[in-house]
Amino acid sequence: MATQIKTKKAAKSKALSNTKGKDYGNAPFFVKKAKESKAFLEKNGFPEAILKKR
Amino acid sequence: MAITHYPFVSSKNSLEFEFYSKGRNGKVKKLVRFSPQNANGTTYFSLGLADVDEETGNINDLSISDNQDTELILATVALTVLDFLQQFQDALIFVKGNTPSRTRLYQIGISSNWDKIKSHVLIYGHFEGQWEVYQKNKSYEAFLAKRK
Repeated sequence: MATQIKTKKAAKSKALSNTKGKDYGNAPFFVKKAKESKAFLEKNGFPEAILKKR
Repeated sequence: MAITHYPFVSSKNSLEFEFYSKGRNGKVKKLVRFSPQNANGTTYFSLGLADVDEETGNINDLSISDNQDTELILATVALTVLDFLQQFQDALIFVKGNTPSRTRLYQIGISSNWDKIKSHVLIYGHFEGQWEVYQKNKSYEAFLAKRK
């Protein structure tokens, strides 16, 4: 259960904050997924309405 | 807004959210990650959902937990999206499953929580080569979400 993880309350968030968590930024699964998303968006672009608002 | 969900915790950098699926096959640790990425000069975050092997701490993307709690998992993922967009208010989130059936699951998650989340997020769906404003119960290839 989530309560087994050391937590502290984060500002503005409904989530508890796990200060001891492992960083999965380099995990192959997420790296591959991010690369695939990039390929998809470079091929198909973004909705124009979203880009205009940014 | 009341969405029944699993309690979740976020990482210090707010890019990762963890929760436990509970069911007939026991507890399974789930990880939602918003990976920063850039395409055509636009920065966005790619959403990924995977199981974490509690013994090794490694990602196990091949496991099928089969805890019969898909709705609860998807509702929890939806809430992590809302939470993330509260932290990163201008962020764009890209969502696409690894397979059409996984994308379909995200579709179900959005659709079944739509009435509760639609006032908070703007969602676009990619359909037949075009992005369009999300319409409930239409099958999309991918999604982009941003805070309203």
